[in-house]
Amino acid sequence: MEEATKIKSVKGFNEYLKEREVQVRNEATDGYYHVNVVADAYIKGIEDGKKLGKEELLKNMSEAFVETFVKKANKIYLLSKDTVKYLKNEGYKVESLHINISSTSPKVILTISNKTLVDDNFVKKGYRKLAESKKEYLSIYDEMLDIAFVGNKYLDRELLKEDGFEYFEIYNG
Amino acid sequence: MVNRKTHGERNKKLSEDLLEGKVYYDWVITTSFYSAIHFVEDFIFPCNIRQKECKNISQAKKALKMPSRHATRKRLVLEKMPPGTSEMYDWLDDRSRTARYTTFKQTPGEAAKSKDYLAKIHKECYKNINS
Repeated sequence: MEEATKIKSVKGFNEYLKEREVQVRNEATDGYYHVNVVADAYIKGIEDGKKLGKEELLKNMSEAFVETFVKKANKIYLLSKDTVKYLKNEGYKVESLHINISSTSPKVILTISNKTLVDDNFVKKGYRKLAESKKEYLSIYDEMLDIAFVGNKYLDRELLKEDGFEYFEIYNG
Repeated sequence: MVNRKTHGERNKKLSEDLLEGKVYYDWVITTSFYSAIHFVEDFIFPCNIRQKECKNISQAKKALKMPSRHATRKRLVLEKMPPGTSEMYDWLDDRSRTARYTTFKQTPGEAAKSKDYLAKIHKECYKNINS
């Protein structure tokens, strides 16, 4: 939680994540696994000396999928908040944070004033910080973190929600 | 054979003309970004990725097992472009991809900045050739 900054959000991130976790668990249970993924898991099970039935195998895969989803979501949130804090210390105010915790393609948008957006010093520091976050995420998950800055003026928040950016924090003060 | 530099410079000229026209600022940014794509790919390729010689973005996508060409390019820019250049590329990318989330299109200031950053990316990508 940001100190000396009021945050307006519909709910806490953990509450939001729990809701998404239930959805992702259902997706994973009902979902489709590529035959190669199942085969690899089956072979891995045999190598580990386990003889699992198909149902148990899929259940284990589903649990692993949800566990990874939660870990990624938490990492994304922490990296985003760290960027907000870093920029604040550098004298730049992030107006709001928007997160789309998709199980396949998570995205983050940080909004700042349009004046800041064309400030060369901000671009240098802000984008260098995003690069650090992307490198850290890449080193852990071998995936690119999609995190971007957008100008706050004329922002269409409804469209962001429609596109899956369901979690947001607005910073006042 | 694709000549990335020629394609990039064609888009660069178009973005400069559009900026002079003072009407289509959103297209200034879009054409600047597409121009930058050609320049950074020209800088990056050919390259060795996980013991494989890659000549283009499709081969790199396969070697890195990335979900899209865009994500692959973002990753290569992050890993292979000099510091400073990757930040300006990401700025152009953000302006181009997230424009749909603003109800009013880009400002003249952002359009002018996109021209400035594209010129710097071009300079960085070809400085060893031109010097």
